[in-house]
Amino acid sequence: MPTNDPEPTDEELLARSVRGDERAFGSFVARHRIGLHRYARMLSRNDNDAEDVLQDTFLQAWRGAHAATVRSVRPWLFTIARHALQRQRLRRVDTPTEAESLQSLGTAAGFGDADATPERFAMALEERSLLRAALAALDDADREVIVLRELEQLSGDETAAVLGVSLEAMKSRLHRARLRLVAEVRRRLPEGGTR
Amino acid sequence: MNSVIPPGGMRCSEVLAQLSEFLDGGLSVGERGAIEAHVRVCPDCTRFGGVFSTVLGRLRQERRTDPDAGRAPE
Repeated sequence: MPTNDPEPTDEELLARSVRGDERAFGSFVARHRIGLHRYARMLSRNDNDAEDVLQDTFLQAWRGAHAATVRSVRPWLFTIARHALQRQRLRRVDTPTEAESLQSLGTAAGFGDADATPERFAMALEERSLLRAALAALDDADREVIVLRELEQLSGDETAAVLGVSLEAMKSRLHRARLRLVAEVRRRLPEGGTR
Repeated sequence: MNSVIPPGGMRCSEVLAQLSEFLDGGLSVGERGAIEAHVRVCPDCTRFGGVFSTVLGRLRQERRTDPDAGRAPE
């Protein structure tokens, strides 16, 4: 005689997750994802930030489930999400050009855009003037670090010395300049590549 | 990012932040492994990593073929 197994409770799913059952954690995530995403989206500035908070929340929940005794699951999850939001805001306050703009630079460069494919970029870059135009559109500081590092092929230390900054600062500047270059290329993609 | 637990224990934003270091070979073996594990199952990061390296590859190729590449606009 067929039996209908009752849906496992959140606590049961978490207990199975702690024992390494990723499918149980998958069911747990599916159950709570929509509500948490809604919360994160309402309090974040954009979809990427909300998705980042969501990933952080479930990652911390996965880790925390091993260490904590969870009595009320939804309040526990929303507390984790709230802390994730706070961490995101703190990162912005501490390093506005680092944490804040990396997400927005990534978005401008096509991160998360299913139409921004390597094949499409490669095809467009067959036209050499496109890359030159993208480089020319960068501001002087971005173009400078790209020219030194990519075109002149100075080492990281040498580039940092020329710019008069630490190696870490140079790496950060270079990464953001590269993202801006990709964004400038993306703006110039033929048909539908602009935002 | 479709996986339940961020693959490699990393979020997409962390992969995005380390993409240059990854491509420049500046990460530890463990850090590289975490990114590779993430990228293997994350279509967004796979696609964007491909875009990023395509543009950088084309830029480095430009150096070999165009001595004026990177010249400031007039």
